[in-house]
Amino acid sequence: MKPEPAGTIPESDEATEEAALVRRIVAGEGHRYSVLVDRYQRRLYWSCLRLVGDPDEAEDVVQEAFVRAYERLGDFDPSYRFYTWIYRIARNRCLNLLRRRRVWGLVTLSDPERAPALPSANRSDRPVENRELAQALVDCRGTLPADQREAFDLRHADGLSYREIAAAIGAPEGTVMSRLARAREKMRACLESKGVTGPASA
Amino acid sequence: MDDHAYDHVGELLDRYRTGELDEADRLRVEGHLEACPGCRRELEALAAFARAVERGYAAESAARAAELEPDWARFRASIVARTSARASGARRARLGRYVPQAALAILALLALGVLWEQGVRSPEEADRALRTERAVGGRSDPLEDRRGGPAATPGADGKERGGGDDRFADRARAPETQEPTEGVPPESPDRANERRRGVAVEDAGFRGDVDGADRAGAEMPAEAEENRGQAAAPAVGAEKRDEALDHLDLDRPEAQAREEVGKAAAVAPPDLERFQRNARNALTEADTLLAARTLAQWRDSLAPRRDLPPELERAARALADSLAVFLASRP
Repeated sequence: MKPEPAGTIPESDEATEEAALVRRIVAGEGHRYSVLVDRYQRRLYWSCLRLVGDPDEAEDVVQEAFVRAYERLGDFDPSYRFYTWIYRIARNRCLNLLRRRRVWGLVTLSDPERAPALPSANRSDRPVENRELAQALVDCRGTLPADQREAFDLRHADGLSYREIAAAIGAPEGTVMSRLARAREKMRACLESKGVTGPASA
Repeated sequence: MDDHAYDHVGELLDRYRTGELDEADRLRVEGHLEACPGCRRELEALAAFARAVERGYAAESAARAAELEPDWARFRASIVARTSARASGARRARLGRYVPQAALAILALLALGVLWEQGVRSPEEADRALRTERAVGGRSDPLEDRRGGPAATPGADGKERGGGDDRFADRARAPETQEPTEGVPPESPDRANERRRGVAVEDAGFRGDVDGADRAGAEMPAEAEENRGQAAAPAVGAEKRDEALDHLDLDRPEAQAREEVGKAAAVAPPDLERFQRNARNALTEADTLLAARTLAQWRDSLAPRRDLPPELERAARALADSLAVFLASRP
């Protein structure tokens, strides 16, 4: 029996489609930019929120990143998905926010207490297990160093490939591999210890 | 699977799982999986883990969407409004012309920012601080003690307090009453430096790679570094500044942003933070025209209430100068 690769990322198809879209936008069809905004605003917002922890600041960063990306669309590398690129733009802003905050002693970068508790379950249409799973995920992610956490988020929340993660954080693929390997190991052990996933290794 | 091979195998399996491997590696992994039951179980465990994590992320954002997410239609509309009037990918040609205004806007927002961060939060808070001071110190007006200090600026101060709106000045000064150092707000030079660095690096990050938050601080451009700590001459004379502001074309597409800044300025101080953020954003975008307008708004609505210690003025000037150098160095 041969396991089928699951969760395949249509990376190249999407990149091709987006490259064509970007070409049209740069050529003057600026109104088409809203397609990209629609596609990625929520995902980028959550990524930034996970980085900076503050909804208002995350909103600002995402807005600015989209405006910035639009202005620099000519620099976009069409061999990547648009998200990889705009993430990187937003990420730089997030890091600056964090740096300012940290120097002012407001927060440390990998403070697990920044991860807020989920609101109590009040909707019957959502399985309780998912809520527990979400809370366990939040807690376990809080134990990771910031760089591993970011790589893990990009991999599992945003579904990026190793190559895309490397481009998104401006690091070599080898760095991505080691960060992901360490993060995965810890997360599997942590989630397993909370009883929400199966055994960490076969 | 031995420990030595774990990382590599784990990575291969993880990439195999998502179909990222090239043909040769994929065939290799498949060949290996055929012969290795433990590896197949590992792949299944890995896939189950990834699915669970994915579900966890989705559940997290779903559970907190109502609390944390903006109205996406409005969010999108705001971005579209800010981009539709401009050509995409176009470099700004105007940059050099408005550098002095940008520098002044930085000065303005620095001033506001410092006042804000000194503890100027709300009227209630300021009043409470004053009441506490009175109760503890038994002084009728703690601000009286500050006014004659060597570092105070008597001219501006007198004017401020003679005017109808001295509450802002009171609130700006209230936190100082708890600080023994005469006329020097706590930490302000450091904050000024940090602020300057923050703004400069924010843009520099797009030119250089920022790998990890810890190393990102090293990306500060050399020109900003060189200007650290220097108290240089003002970036532009007031006369020149006013002339430039008078010639601004106020009917350009940034009207929306300007309006927002205007609104924030009109209801300041409670919205100072937002106002400051707008100004900072404008500068971050190197949108110097907007920055200049932000300055104009600030000048009209807030400047008469300003009361800055000389140390801050100097820090602000140094900041303004390094920003001007930084902006001028951009293409």
